[in-house]
Amino acid sequence: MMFRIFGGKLEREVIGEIERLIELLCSACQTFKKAVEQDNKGLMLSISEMEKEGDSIRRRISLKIYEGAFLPYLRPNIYKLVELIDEVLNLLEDAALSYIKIRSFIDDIREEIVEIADLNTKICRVFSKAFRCLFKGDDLREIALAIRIYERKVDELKHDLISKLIKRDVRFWEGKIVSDFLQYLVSISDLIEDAGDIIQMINVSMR
Amino acid sequence: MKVEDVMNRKVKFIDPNASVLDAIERIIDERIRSLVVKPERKDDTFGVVAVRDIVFKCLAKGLDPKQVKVKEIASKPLIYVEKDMSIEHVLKLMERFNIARVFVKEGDEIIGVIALMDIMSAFIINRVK
Repeated sequence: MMFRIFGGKLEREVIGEIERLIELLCSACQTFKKAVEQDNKGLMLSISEMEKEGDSIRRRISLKIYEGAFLPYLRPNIYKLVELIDEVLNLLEDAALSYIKIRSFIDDIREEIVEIADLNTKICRVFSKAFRCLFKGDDLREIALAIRIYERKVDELKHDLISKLIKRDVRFWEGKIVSDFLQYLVSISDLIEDAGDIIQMINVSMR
Repeated sequence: MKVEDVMNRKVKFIDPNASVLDAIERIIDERIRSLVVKPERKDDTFGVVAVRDIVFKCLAKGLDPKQVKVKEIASKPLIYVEKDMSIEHVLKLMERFNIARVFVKEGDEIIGVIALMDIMSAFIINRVK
């Protein structure tokens, strides 16, 4: 069954492209974490390049699906999965660009930001494993659970950060950009959790 | 797995003379499961007040949480572990003393806490790695 669904030339090409997209996402998360740790603007700007690369991979995938890759009933979920991964890359780029604007006044929360960035990197690795397991026909329940555990951890950190930031006396735009930055950063794990659910749906649809 | 990989660095402290109601408020607002009670005097030790202590030692006895001080219901002494200790060893300690959390100490400072919940999550994550 797996071979029939994923074994064609176009299908294999799409799977290869999705794997490249996920690998790019993992690298982007890792780069973001390093850039915050080192407060490195150049490294942070390189995330925009990764996002552009992600866009072109997504376009290539959509063309291959248009050419007829996968059975029609699988196409919407496969494309939705690709869109979600691309959306995570967009969020990461938004977070990177916001970071550059606020880097001078987040020293007191840098540790927590690195912790969230680290969790985002870990959740991407687990997600990557979920995608690989999809083709082996493995049970994805535990992997999905691990993704949810990471997501809850990010959520807890978000609440800690908000409690810390609420005590600050800030100007409007400074506060707005910090708030947006945090929103981008914590939404990453939410979207990966959604993408994990889509993988489970694809898994179930193939049974 | 080592203690350092699993521990939660979010350790919150409370004054020994704070009321149980203060503790309840903080546990709910800060989404935590326990508070470390600071020593009252120099020769005193740290304690811990968890939901279990609040319910069994105060609320279930019909005591007023505004009147009871956390030092009156805190569990003492804390059980400490080192950050490079193995989780298997920590689990043996928890089972032996029938406790749900241990604290991680570095020098004189409490740097983390490990609850059974953290260990359960870490086991799941480790299985899928």
